[in-house]
Order: sequence, then structure tokens, then C-alpha cells
Amino acid sequence: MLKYLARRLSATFLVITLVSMSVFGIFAVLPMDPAALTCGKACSAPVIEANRHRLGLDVPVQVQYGRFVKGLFVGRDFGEGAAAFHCPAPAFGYSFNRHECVTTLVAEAFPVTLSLAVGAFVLWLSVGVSLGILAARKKNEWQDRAATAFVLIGTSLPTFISGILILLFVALKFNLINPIEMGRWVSPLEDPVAWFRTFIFPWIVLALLYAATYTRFTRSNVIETSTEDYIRTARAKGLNERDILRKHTLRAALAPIITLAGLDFAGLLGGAIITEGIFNLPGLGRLSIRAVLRDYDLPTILATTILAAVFVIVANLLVDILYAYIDPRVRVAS
Amino acid sequence: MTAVVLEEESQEIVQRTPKQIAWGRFKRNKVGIYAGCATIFFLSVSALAPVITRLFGVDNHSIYDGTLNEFAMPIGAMGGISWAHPLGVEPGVGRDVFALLLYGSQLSFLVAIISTVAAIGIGMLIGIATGYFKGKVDASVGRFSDFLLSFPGTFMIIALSLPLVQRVEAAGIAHENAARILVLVIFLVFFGWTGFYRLIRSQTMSLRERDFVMAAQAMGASSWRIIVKELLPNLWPTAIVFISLSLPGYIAAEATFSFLGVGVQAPASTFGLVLSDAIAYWREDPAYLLIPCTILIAIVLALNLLGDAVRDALDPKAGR
Repeated sequence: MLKYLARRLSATFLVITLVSMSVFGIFAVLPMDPAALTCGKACSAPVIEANRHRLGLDVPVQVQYGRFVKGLFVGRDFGEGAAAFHCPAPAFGYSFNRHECVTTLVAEAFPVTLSLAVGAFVLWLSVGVSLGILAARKKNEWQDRAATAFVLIGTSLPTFISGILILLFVALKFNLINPIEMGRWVSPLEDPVAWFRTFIFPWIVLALLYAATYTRFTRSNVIETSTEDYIRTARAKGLNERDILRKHTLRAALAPIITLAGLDFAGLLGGAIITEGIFNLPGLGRLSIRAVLRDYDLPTILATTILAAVFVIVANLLVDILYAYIDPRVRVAS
Repeated sequence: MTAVVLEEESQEIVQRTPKQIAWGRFKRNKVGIYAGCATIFFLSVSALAPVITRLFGVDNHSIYDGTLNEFAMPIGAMGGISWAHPLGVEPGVGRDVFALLLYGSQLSFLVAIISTVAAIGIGMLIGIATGYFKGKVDASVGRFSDFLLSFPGTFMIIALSLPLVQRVEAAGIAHENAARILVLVIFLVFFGWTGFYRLIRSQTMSLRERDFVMAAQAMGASSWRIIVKELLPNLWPTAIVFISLSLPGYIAAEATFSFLGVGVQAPASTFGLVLSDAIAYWREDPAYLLIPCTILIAIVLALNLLGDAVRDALDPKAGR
């Protein structure tokens, strides 16, 4: 197991390095000049050049990448002399347009995205898996048909449409959220009720889409597992249906769902762009989309892209380790 | 397979090809038939957009004077629905919503069909090649697709499309909306081919170990012949199922990206653009928001139901 762990860890580290390098490379070859976008109408050639130097964009891309990595570990200074600005480690860069270290921006946005992702995750997993089990147990009965209808609606509604419809025609129409306070971040530790009210509709929107997929997946897995020989054996030795389902069917049927759930959750941690945008939630998704659409704030874009990729890669690693722990065949095979 | 016909059962047993069996299964699925008819209806209506709009005496660029009141809101109930404007009038500007959506659906279908076909073509080509020949190329393509999956695709498309559209325009390849559509399609394909590639690769790997492939190899058939004559006919059902299940996804994706401001821009129209405009008027003119929503959901739903029916017909074990 240790050997397996070491191999997977080093592979993950390599992939993270490669991904961050490619993100840097991709944005470096774009025909965009981030320095020219730092000063708006006040831009003149000397100002742009000075800002280019302050942002550290006047050196080749590999040097920029080196400085970026170094900044992650020891912090980084932007500019020189009196105008210098220090970002402590882990420094993702300095957002010129917001006059703020990117790490600060990310740290402000992350709790919002985390709240969104955790709540939606709990909701979609509980609804999706239980509905899937129900549909499989009552195959071809009305419960199954209802679950199929739910799956169809969930998969046919693009998130932006369900988001708009729920926001406008449920939440605002019935005054369930205050349009002025909408999307204001409240910590669940300070005011759990306000936190819940802020997030309940975004959770529903996100969970609708995922729960549909999970219902379908759980249903087909449970049905498939139910036909296995060991289930028949369990039934033959006189176990009651409840125990068969709990101890034999679900154990095998739900294992692949761990993989899916881990990756979907990690994908959401990188920011739910559409849901955050519609509900005006100041999370990572809105941070990154604003960085693109408002002023092409390159340091923020780089940081959020790399972070989103890292979440997925790390989740992949965790899921693999969990799997190897559960199923010894995985360790041997790879 | 030849059937042995017993004499007492003189009823003739007709041989059926897999195609006929699948078609027979599809025909029995009523929902599938309705969804198929609805899909054909949507596709033909959008393909015939110029003819149909002319029949109704509207177009997608004229501003219809006298249809808006002094607050630039449509006159009449339900967003100004009338015989002249069957789906109402656009608030603020005064264009015909029916014509806007018809031409918009043309663009949506165009993007979705090109993206699906391209993603599946590339996935098929690479999947067969790596699954059949294996080796180092297979290993590195596999790694590359893993690598691609770890990128936040949606966000990368948004972040990169603006500068890339500028580059495409500067290079003179395409301009304005054509450039935006081109970039969007390239991205959708770039991030979309891996799923299908994995499926085809694993199927090819199991097919190549089957007896009929070994027999062909023993007879000295070339790799090319084996791929075209032995493997491809067995992979088509998978491809058809995948096409019918990805098409609605791409329709929704196109709408989402144009809603976010990436992709087609005004004065052209797509569902996403109309909807992002309609949010501003939701209290005064909810019909302008709800009508495009309903039509888009109907299209995606019809395609999804058709996809399910096609899957049930070609691969009855899946999803059961």
C-alpha cells in the first residue's frame, strides 16, 4: 500500500506541475496584453511599461512561471521602492485592477464556493441515491416512472434556465429572498439562518442537475448488482430483503458512485460559474468570470484556473486511494 | 444464424438483420416515435426558417414600429402576441420574437451538430487506432486525455474565447459571429472528444480479442481491412447512441455559452442571448422569458427522449 501511495503521490505532483505549466503557457501565447489593461483610460506607453515591470510580465514566460512557483512557497514582492507591495506565501499573484493579492481574493471567495458545493453535494447525493434505490426496487412501478420523469426533467434543464426560473419565479416572486441582500456572504457560524436562506435556492438549482444523473446511475447499478449470483446466494440462505439490500447490493452498487461523487464535488469547488453568476454569490466562479469579462485580470484568471484543476487532480488521487483501500485488486493491478 | 423449422410448426421464421431488430424495437417505443417526430419537426422548422418567416410576413432584423408602447414594452397581452407576431415582440427594440428564435435555433442546431459530429469523428479515429494498435501511442494519448479532463473546461472556454476570436479575426479566417462560432465549436470539440474516445477504445480492445477478428488476422487480412470491415460495423451502434445522447448536451452548452456572453452576439440571436436579454424584463414581460425557455426545454427534452429510445433499441441492456 505504501508503495502504491508513493507512486500515486509522485504522479499527482507531476500532473499538477504539468497542468500549471500549460495554463501559464496557454495564457502567455494569447494576443492579450495584460499590462495594457491595468490602467484603463489613463494608459500611456510609459505607464504600461512600468506596470508590465511591476507585474513581472517583462521577463520570459519560464521565468514568470519560476517566480510564480517561488511566490507560492515564500511570498512575493510586486514593484520596487515605495510602491512595492508584498504578498505573503502562498502568493498567487497581485491583481492590479483590484489592488489586492490574488490569494486574498481567493481566500474571500472560497468559503462561499465551499458552502455552495457542500450543501448541493449533500442534497443531490441524498436525493439522487435514495431515489435511484427506490426506482430500482420498484422497477416498472409508478415510483420508477416518477423517478424516470425526474431524471428527464433534471437532465433536460440547462443550469442557467433552472437557475433563472427558480430565482425569478420562485425566490423573488414570493419574496423568499431579498434582492438587495441577495448573494451577500454570511458565515454559517455567525448567522446560520441567513446563511441557509442565501444558499438554499442555489443548492436546489445545482442539486437538480446532479441528482438526476445520480438517480439514473444508482438505479442501473442497483438493478445490475441485484442479478449477481451472490445476491441469489444471500436470498437462498434466507436473509431478509432489507439485509440483502444493505449488506450486499448497496455495498457493491454504490462503490462506483464514490468515484463520480468525489470528482463532481471537486469540480464544483473550482467554482460553479453559472449558479454563482445567477444568484450573485461572490464565490470562485464569479471571481474568475469577472476577471475574464471585466478587465482580463490575468493573475486572478491564472490562479483560479490552476486551483480548479488542482482540486480535480487531488480529488482523483483521494478517490483512487480510497478505492485501493477498499479493493486490494486495484493496488496489484496498477 | 439459420433457424431449424420443425414440420409441425410450419410458421415461417424470417431471418432478421440486427438493423431490422433494432428498428422493430424502436417502432414499439411510442415515446421514442413521438420524440423522433418532434425532433424532425424542430429540425425542419429551423432549417426552413427563411421560408417560414416569409410565410408569416416577418423577419429577424426589422424593427416593427407601433408594437411597443412609450416604455418600450410590447403592446398587448403575453408580450404582444398577435397574428402578425405569433410569439410576441422583443421589448426595448421591437423585433419579432418568432423570427429571432427560428434563426436562433438554426445557429444552435448548427453548432450542436458540427460539434457532435467532429467530437465523435475524432474520438472514433483515435479510439480505434489506440485500442487496436495499443503500445506507446495508446499510453500517451490516454495520459493526455486524463490531463485534459483535469482542466476546468467551461471556464477555459470562457477565458480563452475572447482572445482567440481576436486572433481568428486578425488572421482573416472568419469575422464577427462566424469567428465566434468557429472558436466555440473548436473548444467544444477539444474538450468533448475524450469521453467518446474512451468508450470506443475499450470496445475496440475487447473486439480485437474476439474470434472473428482473429480469424481475419489468420487469413492475412490487413489492419486496415480488419478495422473497416470487422471493427467498424460493430462500433456503429455505439456511435449512434452517443450522437443521439450528446446532441441535446451540445444544444444546451451552446445556449449556456451564448447566455454567458461567449459565442454568438447581437444582432444575431440564439436562445441564450434572448434569455439573457429577457431577464431584465421578467416582471413586465414574463412571456418574453418563458416562451424561449419552454421552446429550448422542449427541444432538449425531445432530443433526450429520442436518445434514450435509440439507446434502448440498439443496446437493450444499457440503462435497464
